[in-house]
Amino acid sequence: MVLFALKRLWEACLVLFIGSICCFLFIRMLPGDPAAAIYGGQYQKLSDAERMRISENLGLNEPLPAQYINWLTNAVQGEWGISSSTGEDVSEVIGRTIQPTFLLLFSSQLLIFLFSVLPGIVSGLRRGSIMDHMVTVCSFMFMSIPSFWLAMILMLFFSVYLGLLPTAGMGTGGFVGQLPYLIMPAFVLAVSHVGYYIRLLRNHVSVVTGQPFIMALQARGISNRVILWKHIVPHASVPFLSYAGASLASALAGTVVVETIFSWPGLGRLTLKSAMEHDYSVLMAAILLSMTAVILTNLLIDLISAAIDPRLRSQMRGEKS
Amino acid sequence: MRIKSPWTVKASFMYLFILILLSVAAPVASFYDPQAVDMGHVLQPPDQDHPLGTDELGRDNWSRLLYGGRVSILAGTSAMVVSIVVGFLYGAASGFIGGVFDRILMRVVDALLSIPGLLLMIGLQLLFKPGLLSVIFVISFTSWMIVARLIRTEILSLKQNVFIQASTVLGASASHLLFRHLLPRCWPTIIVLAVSGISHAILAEATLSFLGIGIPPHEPSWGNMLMGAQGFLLGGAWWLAVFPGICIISTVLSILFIGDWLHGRLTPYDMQTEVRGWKRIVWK
Amino acid sequence: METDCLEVKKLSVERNGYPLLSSVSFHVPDGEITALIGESGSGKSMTVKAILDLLPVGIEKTDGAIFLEKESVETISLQEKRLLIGKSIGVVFQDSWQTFNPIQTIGSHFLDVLSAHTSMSKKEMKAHALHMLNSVQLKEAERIYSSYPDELSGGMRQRVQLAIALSLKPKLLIADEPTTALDVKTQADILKMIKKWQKESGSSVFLVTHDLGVLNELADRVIVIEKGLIAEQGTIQDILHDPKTAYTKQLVDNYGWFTSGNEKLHPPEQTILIELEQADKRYVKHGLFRQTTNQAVSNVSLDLRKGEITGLIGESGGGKSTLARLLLQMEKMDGGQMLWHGDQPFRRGVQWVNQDPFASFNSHWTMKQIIGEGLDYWKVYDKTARIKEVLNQTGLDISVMDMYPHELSGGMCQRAALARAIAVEPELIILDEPFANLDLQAQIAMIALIQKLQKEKGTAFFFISHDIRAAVKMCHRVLVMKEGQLIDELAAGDLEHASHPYTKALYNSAQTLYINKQEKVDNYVFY
Repeated sequence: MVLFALKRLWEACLVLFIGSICCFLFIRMLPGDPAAAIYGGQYQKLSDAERMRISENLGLNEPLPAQYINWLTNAVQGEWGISSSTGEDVSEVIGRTIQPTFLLLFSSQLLIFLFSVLPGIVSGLRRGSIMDHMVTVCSFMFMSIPSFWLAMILMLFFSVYLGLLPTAGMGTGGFVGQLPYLIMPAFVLAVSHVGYYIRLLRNHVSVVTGQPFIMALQARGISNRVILWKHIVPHASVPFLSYAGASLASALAGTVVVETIFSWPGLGRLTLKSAMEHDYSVLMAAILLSMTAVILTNLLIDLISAAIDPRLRSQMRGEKS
Repeated sequence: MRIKSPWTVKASFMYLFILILLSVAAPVASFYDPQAVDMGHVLQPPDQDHPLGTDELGRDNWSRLLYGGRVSILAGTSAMVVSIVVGFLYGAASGFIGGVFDRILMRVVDALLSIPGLLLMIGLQLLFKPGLLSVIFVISFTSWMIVARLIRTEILSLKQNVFIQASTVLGASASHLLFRHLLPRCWPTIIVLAVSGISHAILAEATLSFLGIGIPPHEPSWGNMLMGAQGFLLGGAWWLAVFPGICIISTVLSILFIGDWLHGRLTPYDMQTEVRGWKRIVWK
Repeated sequence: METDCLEVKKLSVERNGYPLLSSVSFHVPDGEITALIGESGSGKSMTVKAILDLLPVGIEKTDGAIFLEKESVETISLQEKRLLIGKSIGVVFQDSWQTFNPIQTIGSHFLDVLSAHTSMSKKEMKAHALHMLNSVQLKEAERIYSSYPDELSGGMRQRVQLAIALSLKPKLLIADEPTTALDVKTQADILKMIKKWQKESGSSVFLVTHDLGVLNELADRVIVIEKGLIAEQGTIQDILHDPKTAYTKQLVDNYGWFTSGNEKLHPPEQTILIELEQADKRYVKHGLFRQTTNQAVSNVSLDLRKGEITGLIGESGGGKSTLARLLLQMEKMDGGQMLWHGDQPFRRGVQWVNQDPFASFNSHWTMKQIIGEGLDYWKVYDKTARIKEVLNQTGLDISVMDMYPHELSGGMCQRAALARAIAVEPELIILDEPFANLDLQAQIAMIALIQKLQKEKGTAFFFISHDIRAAVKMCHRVLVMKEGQLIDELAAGDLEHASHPYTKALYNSAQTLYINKQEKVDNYVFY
């Protein structure tokens, strides 16, 4: 197990490294002066001579790999440059958005678990029944609804017609004060993913239920309840968990739309805004941050999965599975 | 040939058939020019002249929906095709050659996969001029990785099968194995990926256009129609938002039903997990 | 009249209107071992599942009543049934891999069973489990208690299954083909354990098998089932020496042929096909600070001659399959060399029949494509004619060409695998445990087929098996392998008089499966 953990850690570092190279190359491809991209809005105001000096300082005249090392060392130390829109430090701009996005992700994930676990397991057990068909149709519907459309319709109902919930912003006054603002965004974010989770659980539960060892357990007289909770659920939880980890990436993507519509001050909205405003330093930092979060989460999930299912410990990602 | 399928799948095929028919026949089936501005009839609810209403510039909703459908479907399908071709070549090469080559290629895929799709799309579109082609490119660039990964896994796991070893003993060369055994067995995966790819691409195009970084607004697409609808929603112009949304939902839903059904039919016999339960636990 | 432990009356089971069991009636008396014997597809396993009320979805019980200790199984509630069946019946299934939950330890399986039916404390349960593991001759009980199922070998898993089944001291032990695919020694051990347990506890055993040897060793009473119908019932003596139905007579005669020892086979030529010198193969597992090396094959030298049937016997894990893969050049040797002296190119001259017929076919291909595959690689034209020819030779009907593997039985698939191999007219065919998944009748048919091919075509065979009876019957010469080394080599007919202690031990374990009355029977029929 320890060996497995170390190998996975090494792989995660490798992936992070390659990802950072991709980001760096991408920055260089963006239209405009790379120094402007890194230095921000103030760059425009400088004279030619000063710009040359900055180019020297930033090492833009050095070969590409050296620039990359510079950039990487800066990034790791938290020096992400200046935002060209607001002139603040990028780290501050981004730092403000972390808590709101985290809150949103956390609550939507909670809702997802709440609404997917039971239907998924039960429809997996009773595959082919009427209830299963209904659950399938429902989950497909959830997967087809564009999140922004759902957001608009919900706003129409709850804010315009019924006047119950606010449409914009995050609210103040601690958790209770923020709750009315949180409900709709979290719900919209959850709905887009619930469908996938339900399908996943359903498929895996029905696969496990069809395995011969379940029959052997029944022959030994073990009760259905024990079989369900001690045997079926652990088997199904491994792919469930790994999907949950992988879906962090799509959840972060979902926050872009949801936060923008509901004016929720999070990382997703910031990303879109910075792209529209050509605030490259913020955009890059946001993408890097998301990528790191995804990679680390996947690492954690892999380790937990290997703890549950010992067969995974001898398989190593990237090698023959 | 009689093929058995549930009613949902039949309905989906019917819907898609009608949709494609209408899209192709858009110039004939729409009553107005989708770009025709008519300031005398702005924001009309559905009535006799305009069965689905008009928007803020008096343009007919139904016509815009038809033409928008063309764009959305075209964008979705093209993006899917590109991502599958690229992903397939990449994944098959990686899986078949194996070794260090495979590990490096897959690391790159992993790195790209860790960037949330929409974020990647937002970044990429900065590099291009807005338009249909850039949308197609951006969407396919964010979708090919999954295809590569799944195809590579499929090929790797097939490579280890006993029948591959048996073929080697019979005298098969590497290219025989690749073209006679491995690639044909990838078809079910490809078809399933294609189906989920289209649904994902249509939703992606809608999202990009909605956010203003997809198809530019003067040419209608379901997504940018919804962007325009946003402002007028609170004023009560529900028809601007509801109809494009329903179109997107129905299209994606049909594709999902068909995809799920295909997946069941294409799984090889030895991997089918039919309803095999043991009575007592299934009817808990 | 003794009491009956289990009584089955007029049991009928069908799937989609197609009958699997028709009006099956029998009884299992207390204190005896009753065996149910039949071929694969005859409904044996279905009977067991029906008794346990574990029929798969899609298969219905349409008629009949089952009485466990005079209590009708139908009339009690689901909960009571579960407790009754779980406590009074212990079950050992055939495929030990699939009867364990791979993500739980062995100990946890014991705890499941014990906590469901007793009220022992956790400590007591663990102690009882260790005691049971000891009683099935597993030496490192503690280690096994905390290992996972796939860390154990097949034989060990089957013993564990037996331990779990017996841990509640059931009144009836149901064993569904418990020793198929196990090597001879383990098989003998397990059968002896079952017999010993039955004598000591006075409980009953209901044994399902396809192997008359197993029957002979264990059973007191025998029930013969054919295509879902009971053909005959009686004591073991009646069945073996005075069978009343034609089907039973056929079974007994075939088995007599199978165990009648080595025939005077068509003698082999002297030209050597393969020369293997000092072959070595290691598998190295890299741990955190050290590596574990498993020497699978060490210093093996052998010759294979034209037209000769050479057998390789030994226990599981002894390196036999690795040797086969080395001979087929599917893996590289770490030391030593191999020389091919045949007339044809190596890849054509040496062919392979694998243990699992279904796995060695591409399940998307029709049988025509599968059998004809080799012909494409060696540029044999007029494929269809050749395919029909080999189908004829292996006794398969032409209609098989358009079918898919899953539509054929195991025996037919294995014949097709042989057909595929002989289609390219090889000089040597390597058979790697080809009978492991076949029932006895199919095995006997295959042996006759192989002998015919050797006689007509002069093909050499390298036959790897754990079943000594087949090796004795078929081979010219037998090699014995233990822990990666070849320790003995002798003519097949001399196995009875082997001098090496290991060979002797192997032969003796197999002896339990021979019926005492050894009659040289000539009127065999295979189908």
